[in-house]
This record gives sequence, C-alpha cells and structure tokens, in this order.
Amino acid sequence: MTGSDHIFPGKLIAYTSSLDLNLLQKTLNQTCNHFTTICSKRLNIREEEQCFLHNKLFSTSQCLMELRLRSRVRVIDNSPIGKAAATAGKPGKIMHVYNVAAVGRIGDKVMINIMGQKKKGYIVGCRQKQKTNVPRFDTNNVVLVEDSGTPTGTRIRHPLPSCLRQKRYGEKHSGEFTKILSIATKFV
Amino acid sequence: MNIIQKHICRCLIQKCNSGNVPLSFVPARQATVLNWLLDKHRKSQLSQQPEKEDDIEQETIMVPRDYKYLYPEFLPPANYRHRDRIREKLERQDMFCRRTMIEVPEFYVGSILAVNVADTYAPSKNTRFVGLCISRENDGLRTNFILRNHIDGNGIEIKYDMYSPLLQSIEVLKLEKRLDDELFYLRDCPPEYSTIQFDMEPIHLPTGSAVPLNTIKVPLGPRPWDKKWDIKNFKGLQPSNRVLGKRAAIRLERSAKPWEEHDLMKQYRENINDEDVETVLKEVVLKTKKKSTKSQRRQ
Amino acid sequence: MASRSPLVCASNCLQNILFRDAFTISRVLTCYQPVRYRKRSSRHPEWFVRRRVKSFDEGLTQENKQFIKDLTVEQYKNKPSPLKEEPLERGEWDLRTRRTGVLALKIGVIPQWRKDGTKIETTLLQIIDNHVIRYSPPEKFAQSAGWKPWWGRKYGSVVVGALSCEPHLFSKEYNNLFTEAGVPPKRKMTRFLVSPNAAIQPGLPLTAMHFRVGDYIDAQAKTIDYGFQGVVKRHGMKGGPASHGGTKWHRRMGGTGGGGNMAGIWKGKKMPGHMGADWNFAKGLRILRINTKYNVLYVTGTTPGGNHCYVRIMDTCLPNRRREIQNEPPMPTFYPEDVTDQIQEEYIDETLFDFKEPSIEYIDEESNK
Repeated sequence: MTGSDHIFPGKLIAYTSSLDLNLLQKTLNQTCNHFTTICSKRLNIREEEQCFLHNKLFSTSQCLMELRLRSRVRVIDNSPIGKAAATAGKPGKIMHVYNVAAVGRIGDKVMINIMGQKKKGYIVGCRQKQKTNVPRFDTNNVVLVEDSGTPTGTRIRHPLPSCLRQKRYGEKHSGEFTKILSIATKFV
Repeated sequence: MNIIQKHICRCLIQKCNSGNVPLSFVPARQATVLNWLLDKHRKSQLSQQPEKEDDIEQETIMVPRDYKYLYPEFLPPANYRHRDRIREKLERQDMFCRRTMIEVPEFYVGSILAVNVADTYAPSKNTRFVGLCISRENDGLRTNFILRNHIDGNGIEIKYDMYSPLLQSIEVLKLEKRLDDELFYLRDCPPEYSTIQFDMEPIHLPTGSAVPLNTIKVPLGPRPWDKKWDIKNFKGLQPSNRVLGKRAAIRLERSAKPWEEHDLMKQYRENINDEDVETVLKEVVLKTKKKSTKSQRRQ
Repeated sequence: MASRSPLVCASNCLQNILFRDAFTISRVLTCYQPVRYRKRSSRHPEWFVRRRVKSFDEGLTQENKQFIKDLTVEQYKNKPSPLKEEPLERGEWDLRTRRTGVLALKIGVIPQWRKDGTKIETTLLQIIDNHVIRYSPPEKFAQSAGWKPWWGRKYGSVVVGALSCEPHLFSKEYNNLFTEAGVPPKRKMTRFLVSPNAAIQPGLPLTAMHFRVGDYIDAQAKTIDYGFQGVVKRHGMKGGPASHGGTKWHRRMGGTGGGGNMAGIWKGKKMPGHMGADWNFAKGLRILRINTKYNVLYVTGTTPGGNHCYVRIMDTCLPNRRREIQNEPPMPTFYPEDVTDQIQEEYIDETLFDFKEPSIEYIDEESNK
C-alpha cells in the first residue's frame, strides 16, 4: 500500500474514460484502505508528539519572555509538591493571573496547575527584561501558597529580589506577602 | 550636460563654497536647522551674546591612545541627527561633576565588579552585588552596565546606570578583558562559568602592566537556547556540535553578509570624526589632570 | 440603465438643460458637507512678505566678502537703540495676563534624576538670539491681515524672531520688517497673542530668564515628517497575521464601513496618507533647570518634533498648573536691572538632584528615633 499514485484524481479520470468499471471499483477500494491506514498512523504519532512538545518546553511567547497562561514556572520553596514536580520533570503551568493585563510580573498572584492539582502562588523573580537595579532571573520562580494565605513550604533556599520588600505588596495582598518574606533567607 | 544640470552643479558649488558642505551631502527632509548652520549662528558676531571659542580647541594636549577605550561613554553618538555640540558639553559637565563625587574605575567587559547601591527596602539601606560585567552600553548620562552572577542555582543579572546618584561605590575585583564585546551567551552556558563568590578578594595588578586578556573558550549547554549563539561567530565560544538541517543551512547562507567587513561607508557612518574625538578627549585629559593634582596635594 | 428606452433618456437630457440653473442653485444651498481643505500646505498666505531673492554670483573676492561682513556687523552694533527713545510702561501682573513666549530650538533629550532617586527624561531647549520685533495693540491687531475672529478682540500680538542673519541673504521687503526693532534680520519669526498689560517694546532681547525654575510651560512644534504612510504606522491599526494563511494581508486596513442605510465610506475614515509635519502641543511641562550661560531650559518629558526643530514655548493654559498670585513672573520680560545680585550660571529645581552634591543615601528612620 505504499503507492501514492492511486490517490491522484487525474488517474481516476483516466480510468473512467476507459469505462472499465471493475478497475475503478478496485482503485476506489484501495484508496479508502490507504486513507484509513494513514489516519490510524497519524493518531498514534499525535500522542507521541504531545509528550514530545511537553518535554521540549514549547513556548509561543518566548521572544517577549512574558508570563502568560500555560507558561511554565519553577517552584523554589521546599514544599513536597514542588519537589515532586521537579523530579518528575513536569513543571507547573499558569492557569490564571490575578491581574487586569493577564501578564504576570514580579509580586503578582497566580493560579498554577501542578501535578494535576490546583494551587495558588506568587511570582518571585522573572526572566523578562527589568528596570535598572532590579534583578533579572534565568528562570521564572514561584512560591506556593495555601488558600488560607500561609505558604506551603517552610523555607526558601533561593535569593529573592529586594524590591519585593516594598510596602505596596504587603498592603495589596493583606499580609500574605509578609509570611513569604519571613521564610526567605537571602535577598539580592 | 543640459542647461538644468549645469545650473544645479553651479548652485551646489556655490553652496559648498559658502558653508563648507561636502558635495555628496543631502540635507534632511525635516524642517530642522542643520548642525553646521546652527553652530554658525551661535558664534556669529551679529548675535546678542556670541559664544566664545573654547580654549581647549586651541591648546596642544597629547591625548593618550587608550583613552578612547578607557572613557568610551564620553564619545558622542555616531548618528549626526542625534548630535549637538552644546548638549554634549552640558552632559559632559554633569558627568565630570559626578565623577568627582564617586570614583569610576577602569573596567571592561569581562572584568569582575562589586557595586554598592542605596536601597530603601533593605534594612541596612544599602545592598552589595558582585558579578561579571557582561555588557557596557550607550553614551553620556545614559551609560549602563550589566553584572551577572550565579547564586544558589539561579542565574541573576542586574543592570546599573553608571551616573545614577544611587550608586555608592564601584570596586574592581579583577581587571580583565574578554574576546567578545558582549557576553550574553553566558546565559546558556554551564553555571560554573558565571559563578563568583561574594567574599572574593580583589586581585591587584602590578603598576604599569597592561590589562590581561582572558582567552577562555566557553562551551555551550544543551538546547533550547535563548538565541542561536553558534551561528553568530563569537570568539569566546567553543564551536558547538549542532548539525544544521537543510533549510537552516540555506537560511544561514542567505543571511550571511561577508561584504560588511570591507564596507567603508558603513564604517564611516558608525564611527565619529577623529577631530571630534580629539576635542572631547582633550577635555577629559584636562579634567582628570586637575583631579590627580588635587589628590597629590592632599597627600 | 441599459434597458431604458431612448425616449426617457432624451427627456432626462431635456430636463437637465431646462432646469440646470435651478438644480445647481438648490445644490449649493443644501450642501451640508464641510468643504474639503488641505490640512497642511507649504504655501504661505498672500499677505506674507517675500523672503528670498534670486542669488547670483557677483564675482567678489574673499577679501571683499569679508569687508562687507564686517561692515554689516558694525552697522548693526552702532545703530541707536530704539529702546531709549520711547519706553513703554511696564504693566502689572494679574491672573488673567498672557505674556509672550519665546522661540527655542530643541537640542536633545537626556536623563536626569530626582532627589528620591527616580530617573526622568528631560528635553533641552536652547533660546538663541531671540528679539521682540513688533508689538501691535488689540485694536490695531484686529484690523491686520492675519487676524482670525475666534481669537477675540482683547489680545494684541507680539512678533518674536530668532537666529539673526546677514541682510544680503533676504529680500529688501523682508529686511524692512526689522527696521523698527533695530536688529539684524532673523531666520525665523513667530507671533504670540498677548494681553495689553504685557506689551513689550520692540528690540528687547528674550532670554532663558523669561521663565523661572518650577514654572509650567506649553511647547508647540511641528512633528517629524514621516511622508506617506500606511494605516498601521499612521493610525496604529492592527493589520493582519504574519503567518497562518495570511496571504497579502499583513498591514492592511480592515473594513471601511457597513452597508444598508449607512452605506458608503464616511467622512473622516482613517486611511493611509501623509503623516507628520503637523503642529502639535505638549502641555504642562515643568522647568527643572535653567542654564543662563547657554540659555538652555531643561523641561520634563518630551516635546513634538525631531532634533534641532523650532519650538514655541509659552506659559501653560492648563488651569491647575498656572502660577499663584504670590509667584509673580518677570513682566513683561526679564530685565537685568531688576536683579540686585549677580545672575547665577545655573538654577536647579528643589526636587532635582544636583550633580555637585554627594550621592543619595537613605536614612533609617527607626534607628534615629
């Protein structure tokens, strides 16, 4: 079934002109079979492809380096779910940014899909271009938070940007941010 | 040659004689005053308070050769539309004033710096950052440099304005040069090539010695990369073993511009006139001299 | 139309011939659409004086040319000043006065820092060789050729010129405009509307000290000429997709309008055309710094136009940025006799960081307590 010349309509017309009905029926059957086999193969490949793309960190907004929906983030606190995600090689994805612009910046609240669970967290360090005196990180870092507002981890072993200690973050999120700052160890 | 062409040629020659303009010069379309005309008005005797010519232009000062690379931010932009003699002078005044308050040492891309910045949010109201200088950009008061370091599994880059009043001090821990003008490819290299410890002790060079050139060749990490570094002909990068596909190879061939090295017009457009460079650097020499004599007196 | 009988067509033609005049008149009367006019034109109005004359080579030597130059300089320096003969009375300032502006040149944009450490962009505007050339009071101004009725009858006008030139560049009529002021002919002139108590004697120089640090100004200039531009650059429309089957549909305009009752393209539809080279305002800019040696103003933000374009600067019309009664500006302009002590080379705003000061250090308030 490797011959692709059955599919061309020009051939079909040629057969019809000769008015050999038996041959036409044969060819039609052959083409139908060919299509079905291709479709079945294609479906199998698709499943593989999905996994492949997932592992390859495929991103459509790479030039902007913005944190939008479905962008991958790295959990930097010592919560068990974050560690499990890191070992499994399945980083969390942003489901929603609590923000009018729907683009996450430093200090924004975010909903994450991680290991099949729905979690909330704060963006702490971005890969995007920053202002002067504000650090730019190589990865997009996130600290997880429970629904009640307490951080899920007990310690953060990674550096946080110093501008997070501004008052406005504390006021905006009603003291949730101060709890994160209290478990941090290092500021840059 | 018909009559109209002759007339145009005559007009152009007249104009050249009056204003010292090269023949090939085509004036801008915008309703603006050209640089040479404006300078003529500033210095003309008909004006209310004509500007006096600087003493620096007439003085004979030998400018050392390396000053062009030592103080690159004093050189004005190459685009003639962004240039103005008075604006550059006023900008330079501010820069010299700032340099009296804070010591800006000699450093290049590739040397290791420690920077102290005032920070309202820190409890000590001051933060210190140590890193490798990746790039040095822009001119005038707009100059900035980027430091990179790798701390606890996080690659961190911070950009600093060189003439910002928030800068408390700049300290050179290791004076060095690299093979490239920009080291942004370190983002995709293994972390050990950009890790610097915060308690690193400064390495002093013997007086009078030349600035050492670090000829290290850095390997690239696994893909995906931020940009296609292997295509861009960096001297400080090891050649990668990435096999280009058919289409990529064709694209590379098309995008190559081998004639740019020999493009004299491009070089002319991107560089400044030698006379302008000298007038700027003479001022730099004079100001730095005054400073050094002051410090000698204190001793 | 093709199916019409020849008889009907003939009757139509007849109607046209018979009622042509009647139709045309009614059309003129019922025309409600505004007349289309050119927004910007390079042609001056008719009452403008001819500026340039045809230059021809006289075959002068370099020495003779220099001699003529020196003569013109001497002529203008030794001229008796018109200021001494009949000085106008200086009016007093109140909240409704409108002072003159100045004609400056934009020379660049550089960053400056505030005292709290924030960075701001400032535009540098140099005032080169500005002189008052003519003042006409409101009654006289209302009768002049360029007057527009919507300006009102309570304002006079002041003509200001910048960049003085040699007189042989211009025509005789143009040079005669400057005899009243007693200054050499200027390259550029503008007119400002002025209230009668801010009347100025012609021949007075205008400097950067016309304004003070902390004032708010309006800057008017011609924007950069971009030429004929498409719809994406001119009006910021979105265009089409770069890929995903976008064939010949990348930077195009969308639909031009609906059908049905409101069919057709409406007037004022945004379309490709000439962009820039149009007068524009930047209002409410604060003066942060003044350099009196080179007559340079440092102004917050950016002004329209490219580098080295002419900028008209005047006091703001914004109601919440006007000056208070206590803060009286120099009327009608700055006179050097008014100030007893010597003029400083630089005036800097309180909020702006002076580069002569040491670097900013934040103080810990809790530890001080």
